[in-house]
Amino acid sequence: MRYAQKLICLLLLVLSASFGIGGCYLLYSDFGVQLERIDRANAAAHAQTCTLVQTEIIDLQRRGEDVGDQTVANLLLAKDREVALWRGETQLCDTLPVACDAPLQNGTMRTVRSGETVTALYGSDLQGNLHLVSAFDLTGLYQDRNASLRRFLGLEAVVLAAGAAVMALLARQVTRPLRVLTATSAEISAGEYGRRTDLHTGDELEQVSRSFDKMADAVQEKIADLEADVQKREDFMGAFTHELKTPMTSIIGYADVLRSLQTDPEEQREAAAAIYHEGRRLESLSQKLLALLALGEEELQLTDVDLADLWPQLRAACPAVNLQTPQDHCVVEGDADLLLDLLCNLVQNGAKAGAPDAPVAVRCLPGADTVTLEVEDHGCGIPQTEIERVTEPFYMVDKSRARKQGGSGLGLALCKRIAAAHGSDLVIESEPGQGTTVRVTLRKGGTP
Amino acid sequence: MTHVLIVEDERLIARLIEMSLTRAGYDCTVAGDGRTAADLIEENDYDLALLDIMLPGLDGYELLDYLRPQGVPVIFITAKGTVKERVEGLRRGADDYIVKPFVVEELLARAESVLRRAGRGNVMQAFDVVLDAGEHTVTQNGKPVDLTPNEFLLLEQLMRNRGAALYRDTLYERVWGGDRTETDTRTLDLHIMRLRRKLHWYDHIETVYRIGYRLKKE
Repeated sequence: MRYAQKLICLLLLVLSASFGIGGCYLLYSDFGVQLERIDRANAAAHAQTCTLVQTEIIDLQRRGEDVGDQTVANLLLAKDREVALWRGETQLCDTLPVACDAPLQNGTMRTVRSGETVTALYGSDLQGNLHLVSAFDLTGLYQDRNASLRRFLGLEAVVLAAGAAVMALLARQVTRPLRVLTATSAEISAGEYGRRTDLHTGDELEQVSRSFDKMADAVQEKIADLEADVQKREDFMGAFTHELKTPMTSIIGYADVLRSLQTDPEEQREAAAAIYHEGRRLESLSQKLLALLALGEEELQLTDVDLADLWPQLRAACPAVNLQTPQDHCVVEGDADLLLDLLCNLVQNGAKAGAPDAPVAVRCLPGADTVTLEVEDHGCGIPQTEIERVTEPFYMVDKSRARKQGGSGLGLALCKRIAAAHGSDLVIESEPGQGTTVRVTLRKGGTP
Repeated sequence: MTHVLIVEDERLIARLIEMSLTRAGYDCTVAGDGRTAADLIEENDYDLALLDIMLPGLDGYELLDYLRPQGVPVIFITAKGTVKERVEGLRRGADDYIVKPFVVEELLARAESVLRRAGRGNVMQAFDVVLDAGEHTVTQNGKPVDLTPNEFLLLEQLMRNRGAALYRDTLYERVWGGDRTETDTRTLDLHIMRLRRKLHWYDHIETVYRIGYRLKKE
């Protein structure tokens, strides 16, 4: 059963009950008053008859006339009333409209129903062992009451029907927010996460609607996050597969040539070089990938690192680069190996971007309680639209150039992870043709 | 000569395909990106195009649209290997789809079958012998030569790798299939002998000491 129907039924029940009980109470109390009034009038009339008959009998007795049964009966009949008279147990006359076998007790009244008619009987004892019973018709009164009841019922039916119609309309209005909520939740579960109820009814339903919308917002956000996550993972897997399959193809293909043919030495060397080159590429890819995976797993133990200690190691790691490092000491909170990795990647990127032997500068810019590490090159730069994407795994601005230089597309992704592990982020500024500056802000370490 | 366009941005893979196809007697042109490939397609007439899908410039699907009107059969060579991607590639009108990493032998076989279907049958010629891989016929100076299936396959291998010495193992593996045993190399030598006799190619098929056999270049 729908909520509106339930509401209507309940209201109708209450309405009909209160209306019915109230109406009946009114009708019956009114009827009671009328009945009492008529009873009083009838009793008076009966008393009058009694007095009259008594007087006449006394009168006859005084005159010494016969007061036998017949005379008394005639006397009574002459009154033209609906009466019955007994002397002792013997009935003298009976004009009652209803059957009455025995005289009523003195001063009592009885209501007799036979079929449609209702009759009130009044009994009184007269002198000389006479018992008089008079009858009064109450049928009209009762019929009036019944008619009133019927009219009332008819009226109630009409009122209830009209009330039901009005209530149905009102209930529809009142339950509209519920229908909106139902429809919206159905749409949301069908995948339209952007749907909102946005009800302004100014009552509890508006609150429900508001919290519903808030929930829908949260769900939509979560779903979007999840989808983005899945998309990212898919992109990563796709790129990873591509990065894995490309060197595989070369290695398998060239190895197949070498193992099946003896071609001229030139081609043989070419094939061997290709296998070596692609093997190295796979190796560097797997190394970076492992580093990336390892970073995601455990919380880092950050210690004080004097950056000045890193420069010799950095020079050793990037021997072919024209590297400029600062002279002064700078202590930061960090992991020495990871920072070296980060710097190494950034410096090599900078070196690859520019002409051979172009300088790559590393700087330390101490702040209040931070140290900003800066790597600047004067290479080809990164187009503005690509800066956002260069830290995505396997993203390469110029794929063929990256390939030639043995790039895996993971370097900056790794740097970003390392920066994140230090509670920082990579800030990349670049001007195509002018060069690129990458900054990482680290927390200052304890006193050197 | 069958002209083949190779569009592949991975230099090493492009070179590998070029090397193998040239040895098999195809005339190859390599393009490293989509734009160069599109220009080449406009100016030249190719019999077959081998396309990578992810390319700088125009991607493989776009190049396919350039090639379709010319009726050039197309084979996609790509790392995208899911069923969905294969179906997508084939539905867009590619004639075949090869997933990396592939073996060169497979690439050659597929290229041949695509060419055959396109009615641009790959006919290889060496000296006075013409081998039609599609028709499975060999003619010498216009006269048909009667070869057993294995002799045919052997000749096909030699012609496909002209100028390079094929290892006995490889030859046996490709013609008879499976690993060879000592007696099997006898079979190989026997077939080479028969081939020399039937084609009168006593000098053209060279025995390379400790390696195998080679069909001389002209």
